[in-house]
Amino acid sequence: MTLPGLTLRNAFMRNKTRTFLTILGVVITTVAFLFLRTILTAWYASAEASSADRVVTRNAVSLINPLPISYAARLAQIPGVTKVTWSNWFGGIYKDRKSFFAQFAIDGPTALEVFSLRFLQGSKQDFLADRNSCLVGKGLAEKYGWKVGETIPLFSEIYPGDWKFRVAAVIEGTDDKSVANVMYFHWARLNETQAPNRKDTVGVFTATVANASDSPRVIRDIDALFANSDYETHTETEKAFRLSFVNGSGAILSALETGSGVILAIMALILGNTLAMGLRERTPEVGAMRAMGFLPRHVRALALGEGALLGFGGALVGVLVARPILGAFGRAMAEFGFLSNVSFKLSTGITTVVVAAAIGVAASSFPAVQAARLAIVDALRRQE
Amino acid sequence: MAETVAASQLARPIIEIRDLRKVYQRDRQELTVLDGIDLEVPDGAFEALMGPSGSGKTTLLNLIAGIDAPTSGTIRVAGEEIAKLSETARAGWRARNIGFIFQFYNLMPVLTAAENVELPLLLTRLRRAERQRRVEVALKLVGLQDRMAHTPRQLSGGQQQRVAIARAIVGDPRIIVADEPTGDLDRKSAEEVLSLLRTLNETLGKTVLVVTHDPHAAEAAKVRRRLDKGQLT
Repeated sequence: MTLPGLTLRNAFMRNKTRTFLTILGVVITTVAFLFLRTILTAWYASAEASSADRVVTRNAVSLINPLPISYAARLAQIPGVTKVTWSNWFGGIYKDRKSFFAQFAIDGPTALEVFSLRFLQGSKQDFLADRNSCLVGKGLAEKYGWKVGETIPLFSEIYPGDWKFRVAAVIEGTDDKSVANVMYFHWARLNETQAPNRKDTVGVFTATVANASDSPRVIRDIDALFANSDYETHTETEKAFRLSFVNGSGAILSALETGSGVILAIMALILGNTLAMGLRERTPEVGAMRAMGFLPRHVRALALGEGALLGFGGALVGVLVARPILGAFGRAMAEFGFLSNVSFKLSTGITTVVVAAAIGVAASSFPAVQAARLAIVDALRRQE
Repeated sequence: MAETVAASQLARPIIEIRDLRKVYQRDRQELTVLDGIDLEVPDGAFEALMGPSGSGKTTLLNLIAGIDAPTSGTIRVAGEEIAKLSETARAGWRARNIGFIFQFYNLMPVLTAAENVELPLLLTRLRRAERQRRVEVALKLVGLQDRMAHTPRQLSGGQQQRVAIARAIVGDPRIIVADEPTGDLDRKSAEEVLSLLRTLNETLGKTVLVVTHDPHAAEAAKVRRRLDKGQLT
């Protein structure tokens, strides 16, 4: 028998019902915490996947307002800019509104130079040769069973009409997982259907910069070039551009962040309550141990160890439970075409277990100090 | 009784108390529990402290065992003036010199009888095999060698108190202090526990101090002292 062995038994064997309920509480809070952290991580991951050498230019008024296609040539003239491409958000509906996924009208030849795509089926040449063709992410292809050569019908409220696109290739991003759930088709096809006042306009320009460290200067130059024009621009790095979408959901993110903090506080209260009750019940035992010669530091170590074990054990079970749940949730979100990066991350799991053990220690520190400070005679008197 | 006291005075005192006072502060009231106690207990004695509730007998026992500090006076036990020791030093001194027996046993329910007995030995540098050997000897001495793997819940009250006695002697202390050791036991179990205490005193030469209400339990001691209103009578 050892003191760590005694700690282990105090934590899990003393009152099995209470231990079970405490572990259950920690498991539930761990699953909830992991859930929120994973969503937050996935939310920011799309921005993290951005390339450092790409800048995005949009209308300074808002993303909804377009920019003239003629800006492309002027952007390409700015020192440091190596390639320029453009795109429009399409917002089409496939079958019904539940089958949501992102579609972009892109300028094929330039887009395939700016963005890093891997062709899994079909070919780049086929896509470039046929203006009625499209590229589909592998996630979409798997979900809807699309094959190369198949025709995809879309309905759009932004660009009215029935649209049909032939799948030229199935793709994935080499550095951006969200590409797996995106569809691309030719901007020229979209442009030819536009009303005169919307013709030859684009949603955003994306430019590559020869040296990423030049990006701030290039951003300033671009916006200066179009200052005081009818279409003033707002340029930022691709990461900042994507983060603006994330920050647009600031209230939700703040709620998730706060929620995960509250969950940790609940976990601390569950553990603290259990440990305080347990230590209070065995005050005479603590008194007996102290009488035998054990020191306050032994009592503290036993109590803190017990808290750490309960937090660690509960969180470990919680992580094991959360893993399949997060997997299923991630697949569901990917099918919905939203937050494609939701999945169990081992690093998040390990961090959660360590944090839970630390919370166990923190939650037990107050009852531990109280128990260690108690005079031996007072501790022994508690059972009388 | 006068004869037993005279006989015990021949031996060298293991406990020497001079002008001992213990005053508790209760809110703004001062409560004098022990008032000018002088006491000598010879090495190898078996003494019982009796008295009504609130007479101070448990307080006196706690002071002798070094788990409480006096307000004034001196207590020399096993050659050490224990009131002058630091908390850490006093804990080490208790581990070496004092074996405790409590009314409600205070065994760890999550440990077996053997593990409960081994508990004080965790404070020593003894190897595991030596600890287990001592545990077996102590449990054999109290007649529970066949109950080593039982947890306290699987033992009767008398057996639990015998495990507590084994725990008290496993570190080979010079003094055994017992606070109402039979207070929670039936007559038969109480008799077994008292018989064990007598054995520890007579066979192993331990100094045994028992605090009790029970005159029958006090009969087991060779010397009986009475405490009333904080003074030995």
